[in-house]
Amino acid sequence: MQESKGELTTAKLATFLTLPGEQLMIAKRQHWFILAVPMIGTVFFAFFINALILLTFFIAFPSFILLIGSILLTVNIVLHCVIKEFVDWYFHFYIVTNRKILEINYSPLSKQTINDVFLDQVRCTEIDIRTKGVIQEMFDMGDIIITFDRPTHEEEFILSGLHDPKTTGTFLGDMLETIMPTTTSVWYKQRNNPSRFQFVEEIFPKIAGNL
Amino acid sequence: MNNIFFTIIHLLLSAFALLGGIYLFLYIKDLKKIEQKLNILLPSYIKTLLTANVIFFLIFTFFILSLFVIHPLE
Repeated sequence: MQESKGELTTAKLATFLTLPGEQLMIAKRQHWFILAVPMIGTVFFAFFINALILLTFFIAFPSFILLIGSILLTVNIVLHCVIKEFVDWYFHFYIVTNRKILEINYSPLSKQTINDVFLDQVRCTEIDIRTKGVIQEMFDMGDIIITFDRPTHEEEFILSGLHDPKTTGTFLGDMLETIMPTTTSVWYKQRNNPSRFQFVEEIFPKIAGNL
Repeated sequence: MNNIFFTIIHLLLSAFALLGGIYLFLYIKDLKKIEQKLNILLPSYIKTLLTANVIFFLIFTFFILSLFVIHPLE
Protein backbone atom coordinates (compact mmCIF):
# COMPACT_ATOMS: atom_id res chain seq x y z
CA MET A 1 0.00 0.00 0.00
CA GLN A 2 1.29 3.46 -0.90
CA GLU A 3 1.79 5.74 2.08
CA SER A 4 0.31 9.23 2.02
CA LYS A 5 2.65 12.21 1.85
CA GLY A 6 1.83 13.58 5.29
CA GLU A 7 2.08 10.24 7.09
CA LEU A 8 4.68 9.99 9.86
CA THR A 9 6.84 6.96 9.11
CA THR A 10 10.02 5.51 10.62
CA ALA A 11 12.05 6.71 7.61
CA LYS A 12 10.82 10.29 8.03
CA LEU A 13 11.29 10.29 11.79
CA ALA A 14 14.74 8.68 11.74
CA THR A 15 16.25 11.94 13.07
CA PHE A 16 14.34 11.46 16.34
CA LEU A 17 15.42 7.86 16.88
CA THR A 18 18.76 8.68 18.47
CA LEU A 19 19.13 6.10 21.25
CA PRO A 20 20.61 2.64 20.69
CA GLY A 21 17.98 0.01 19.84
CA GLU A 22 15.24 2.62 19.65
CA GLN A 23 12.13 1.65 17.70
CA LEU A 24 9.16 3.76 16.69
CA MET A 25 5.90 2.65 18.29
CA ILE A 26 3.44 5.45 17.64
CA ALA A 27 3.69 8.72 15.72
CA LYS A 28 0.52 10.74 15.60
CA ARG A 29 -0.72 14.22 14.82
CA GLN A 30 -3.74 15.73 16.50
CA HIS A 31 -7.22 15.08 15.09
CA TRP A 32 -8.11 17.15 11.99
CA PHE A 33 -11.11 18.59 13.85
CA ILE A 34 -8.69 20.59 16.02
CA LEU A 35 -7.54 22.27 12.82
CA ALA A 36 -11.04 22.81 11.42
CA VAL A 37 -12.39 24.86 14.36
CA PRO A 38 -9.91 27.81 14.20
CA MET A 39 -10.04 27.78 10.38
CA ILE A 40 -13.83 28.16 10.33
CA GLY A 41 -13.52 30.82 13.07
CA THR A 42 -10.99 32.77 11.01
CA VAL A 43 -13.20 32.70 7.89
CA PHE A 44 -16.23 33.91 9.89
CA PHE A 45 -14.13 36.68 11.45
CA ALA A 46 -13.02 37.70 7.93
CA PHE A 47 -16.68 37.98 6.85
CA PHE A 48 -17.34 40.22 9.84
CA ILE A 49 -14.32 42.46 9.11
CA ASN A 50 -15.28 42.68 5.41
CA ALA A 51 -18.80 43.72 6.37
CA LEU A 52 -17.29 46.51 8.53
CA ILE A 53 -15.04 47.58 5.64
CA LEU A 54 -18.05 47.64 3.29
CA LEU A 55 -19.96 49.81 5.74
CA THR A 56 -17.01 52.17 6.18
CA PHE A 57 -16.00 52.67 2.55
CA PHE A 58 -19.42 52.30 0.96
CA ILE A 59 -21.58 54.39 3.28
CA ALA A 60 -19.52 56.42 5.81
CA PHE A 61 -16.49 57.43 3.70
CA PRO A 62 -17.21 56.41 0.09
CA SER A 63 -13.99 55.41 -1.70
CA PHE A 64 -13.95 52.56 -4.17
CA ILE A 65 -10.13 52.27 -4.28
CA LEU A 66 -9.76 52.07 -0.49
CA LEU A 67 -12.61 49.54 -0.39
CA ILE A 68 -10.79 47.27 -2.84
CA GLY A 69 -7.45 47.81 -1.04
CA SER A 70 -8.86 46.96 2.39
CA ILE A 71 -10.72 43.87 1.13
CA LEU A 72 -7.56 42.67 -0.64
CA LEU A 73 -5.59 43.12 2.59
CA THR A 74 -8.21 41.25 4.66
CA VAL A 75 -8.35 38.34 2.20
CA ASN A 76 -4.56 38.21 2.18
CA ILE A 77 -4.32 38.13 5.98
CA VAL A 78 -7.07 35.48 6.25
CA LEU A 79 -5.35 33.31 3.65
CA HIS A 80 -2.13 33.55 5.62
CA CYS A 81 -3.90 32.77 8.93
CA VAL A 82 -5.44 29.64 7.41
CA ILE A 83 -2.05 28.50 6.06
CA LYS A 84 -0.41 29.24 9.42
CA GLU A 85 -3.03 27.20 11.30
CA PHE A 86 -2.42 24.26 8.98
CA VAL A 87 1.39 24.54 9.27
CA ASP A 88 1.17 24.73 13.08
CA TRP A 89 -1.05 21.61 13.13
CA TYR A 90 1.18 19.79 10.64
CA PHE A 91 4.34 20.35 12.69
CA HIS A 92 2.74 19.37 16.03
CA PHE A 93 2.95 15.64 16.64
CA TYR A 94 3.66 13.00 19.26
CA ILE A 95 6.22 10.25 18.93
CA VAL A 96 6.35 7.22 21.22
CA THR A 97 9.34 4.90 20.92
CA ASN A 98 10.43 2.02 23.13
CA ARG A 99 12.89 4.42 24.85
CA LYS A 100 11.15 7.80 25.07
CA ILE A 101 8.01 9.86 24.53
CA LEU A 102 8.34 13.07 22.52
CA GLU A 103 6.09 16.00 21.77
CA ILE A 104 7.25 18.13 18.86
CA ASN A 105 5.63 21.47 18.29
CA TYR A 106 7.13 23.81 15.72
CA SER A 107 5.60 27.00 14.46
CA PRO A 108 7.64 29.19 12.08
CA LEU A 109 8.77 32.48 13.65
CA SER A 110 6.96 31.87 16.91
CA LYS A 111 7.49 28.53 18.65
CA GLN A 112 9.92 25.62 18.74
CA THR A 113 9.17 23.08 21.45
CA ILE A 114 10.51 19.58 21.92
CA ASN A 115 9.25 17.97 25.10
CA ASP A 116 10.56 14.50 25.86
CA VAL A 117 10.49 11.92 28.62
CA PHE A 118 13.06 9.12 28.79
CA LEU A 119 11.18 6.00 29.79
CA ASP A 120 14.14 4.42 31.62
CA GLN A 121 14.35 7.45 33.96
CA VAL A 122 10.73 7.42 35.14
CA ARG A 123 8.09 5.07 36.45
CA CYS A 124 4.72 5.16 34.77
CA THR A 125 1.92 4.86 37.28
CA GLU A 126 -1.21 5.64 35.29
CA ILE A 127 -2.56 6.00 31.77
CA ASP A 128 -5.86 7.83 31.58
CA ILE A 129 -8.01 8.31 28.49
CA ARG A 130 -10.18 11.41 28.51
CA THR A 131 -12.95 12.28 26.06
CA LYS A 132 -14.76 15.50 26.81
CA GLY A 133 -18.14 16.38 25.36
CA VAL A 134 -20.39 15.25 22.55
CA ILE A 135 -18.23 16.61 19.72
CA GLN A 136 -15.11 14.74 20.87
CA GLU A 137 -17.18 11.55 21.25
CA MET A 138 -18.70 12.01 17.77
CA PHE A 139 -15.33 12.53 16.09
CA ASP A 140 -13.63 9.83 18.18
CA MET A 141 -10.99 12.14 19.62
CA GLY A 142 -9.59 12.68 23.09
CA ASP A 143 -6.56 13.01 25.34
CA ILE A 144 -4.23 10.39 26.73
CA ILE A 145 -2.75 11.38 30.08
CA ILE A 146 0.35 9.49 31.14
CA THR A 147 1.28 10.02 34.77
CA PHE A 148 4.85 9.43 35.85
CA ASP A 149 5.87 8.90 39.47
CA ARG A 150 2.62 10.26 40.81
CA PRO A 151 3.40 9.66 44.52
CA THR A 152 6.54 11.77 44.39
CA HIS A 153 6.48 14.21 41.47
CA GLU A 154 3.03 14.19 39.88
CA GLU A 155 4.49 14.59 36.41
CA GLU A 156 1.93 14.34 33.64
CA PHE A 157 2.48 13.98 29.94
CA ILE A 158 -0.64 14.77 27.95
CA LEU A 159 -1.11 13.62 24.38
CA SER A 160 -3.99 15.91 23.53
CA GLY A 161 -6.61 15.78 20.79
CA LEU A 162 -5.66 12.42 19.32
CA HIS A 163 -7.81 10.35 17.00
CA ASP A 164 -8.99 7.01 18.43
CA PRO A 165 -7.59 7.58 21.97
CA LYS A 166 -8.97 4.29 23.32
CA THR A 167 -6.97 2.05 20.99
CA THR A 168 -3.86 4.24 21.30
CA GLY A 169 -4.16 4.36 25.10
CA THR A 170 -4.56 0.58 25.38
CA PHE A 171 -1.59 0.04 23.08
CA LEU A 172 0.50 2.48 25.12
CA GLY A 173 -0.49 0.76 28.36
CA ASP A 174 0.55 -2.65 27.06
CA MET A 175 3.77 -1.27 25.60
CA LEU A 176 4.83 0.63 28.73
CA GLU A 177 4.06 -2.41 30.89
CA THR A 178 6.54 -4.49 28.90
CA ILE A 179 9.35 -1.95 28.56
CA MET A 180 9.25 -0.12 31.90
CA PRO A 181 11.80 -1.16 34.57
CA THR A 182 10.31 -3.74 36.91
CA THR A 183 11.79 -2.38 40.18
CA THR A 184 9.28 -0.24 41.96
CA SER A 185 11.64 2.03 43.81
CA VAL A 186 10.71 5.14 45.72
CA TRP A 187 13.25 7.96 46.12
CA TYR A 188 13.19 10.51 48.88
CA LYS A 189 15.55 12.99 50.50
CA GLN A 190 15.77 13.76 54.21
CA ARG A 191 15.59 17.39 55.25
CA ASN A 192 18.82 17.38 57.29
CA ASN A 193 20.73 14.81 55.29
CA PRO A 194 21.81 15.70 51.74
CA SER A 195 22.32 12.08 50.69
CA ARG A 196 19.48 10.22 48.98
CA PHE A 197 17.91 6.99 50.14
CA GLN A 198 16.07 4.52 48.03
CA PHE A 199 13.48 2.01 49.19
CA VAL A 200 13.34 -1.03 47.01
CA GLU A 201 11.28 -3.24 49.30
CA GLU A 202 7.55 -2.97 49.90
CA ILE A 203 6.66 -0.23 52.38
CA PHE A 204 3.61 -2.13 53.67
CA PRO A 205 4.48 -5.84 53.43
CA LYS A 206 1.56 -8.25 53.25
CA ILE A 207 0.91 -10.17 56.44
CA ALA A 208 -0.39 -13.71 56.01
CA GLY A 209 -4.11 -13.94 56.70
CA ASN A 210 -4.50 -10.14 56.85
CA LEU A 211 -6.04 -8.56 53.72
CA MET B 1 -11.46 65.98 7.10
CA ASN B 2 -11.97 63.30 4.46
CA ASN B 3 -8.51 63.95 2.98
CA ILE B 4 -6.83 63.45 6.36
CA PHE B 5 -8.82 60.24 6.89
CA PHE B 6 -7.91 58.88 3.47
CA THR B 7 -4.25 59.79 3.98
CA ILE B 8 -4.20 57.93 7.31
CA ILE B 9 -5.80 54.88 5.66
CA HIS B 10 -3.25 55.06 2.82
CA LEU B 11 -0.40 55.15 5.32
CA LEU B 12 -1.86 52.31 7.37
CA LEU B 13 -2.34 50.11 4.30
CA SER B 14 1.22 50.83 3.10
CA ALA B 15 2.60 49.98 6.56
CA PHE B 16 0.63 46.71 6.45
CA ALA B 17 1.93 45.95 2.95
CA LEU B 18 5.53 46.56 4.00
CA LEU B 19 5.35 44.69 7.33
CA GLY B 20 3.32 41.86 5.80
CA GLY B 21 5.83 41.42 2.99
CA ILE B 22 8.79 41.28 5.40
CA TYR B 23 6.88 38.88 7.72
CA LEU B 24 5.96 36.56 4.85
CA PHE B 25 9.55 36.50 3.58
CA LEU B 26 10.87 35.58 7.05
CA TYR B 27 8.03 33.06 7.56
CA ILE B 28 8.85 31.14 4.38
CA LYS B 29 12.57 31.20 5.24
CA ASP B 30 11.89 29.76 8.72
CA LEU B 31 9.43 27.21 7.30
CA LYS B 32 12.10 25.85 4.94
CA LYS B 33 14.51 25.60 7.89
CA ILE B 34 11.93 23.62 9.92
CA GLU B 35 11.23 21.30 6.97
CA GLN B 36 14.94 20.51 6.70
CA LYS B 37 15.38 20.14 10.46
CA LEU B 38 12.45 17.76 10.97
CA ASN B 39 12.87 16.05 7.58
CA ILE B 40 9.12 16.39 7.04
CA LEU B 41 7.91 18.19 3.91
CA LEU B 42 4.69 20.15 3.69
CA PRO B 43 2.09 18.94 1.15
CA SER B 44 2.39 20.57 -2.28
CA TYR B 45 -1.06 22.20 -2.12
CA ILE B 46 -0.02 24.16 0.98
CA LYS B 47 3.12 25.33 -0.81
CA THR B 48 0.93 26.43 -3.76
CA LEU B 49 -1.32 28.33 -1.36
CA LEU B 50 1.72 29.96 0.24
CA THR B 51 3.01 31.00 -3.20
CA ALA B 52 -0.45 32.39 -4.00
CA ASN B 53 -0.27 34.30 -0.72
CA VAL B 54 3.07 35.86 -1.71
CA ILE B 55 1.81 36.78 -5.21
CA PHE B 56 -1.36 38.19 -3.70
CA PHE B 57 0.76 40.28 -1.34
CA LEU B 58 2.87 41.61 -4.21
CA ILE B 59 -0.30 42.60 -6.08
CA PHE B 60 -1.58 44.29 -2.94
CA THR B 61 1.70 46.21 -2.47
CA PHE B 62 1.62 47.45 -6.09
CA PHE B 63 -2.02 48.39 -5.63
CA ILE B 64 -1.17 50.48 -2.54
CA LEU B 65 1.74 52.12 -4.36
CA SER B 66 -0.58 52.99 -7.23
CA LEU B 67 -2.95 54.60 -4.72
CA PHE B 68 -0.22 57.11 -3.90
CA VAL B 69 0.05 57.97 -7.59
CA ILE B 70 -3.73 58.40 -7.96
CA HIS B 71 -4.20 60.27 -4.66
CA PRO B 72 -0.86 61.85 -3.66
CA LEU B 73 -0.40 62.62 0.06
CA GLU B 74 -1.40 66.16 0.98
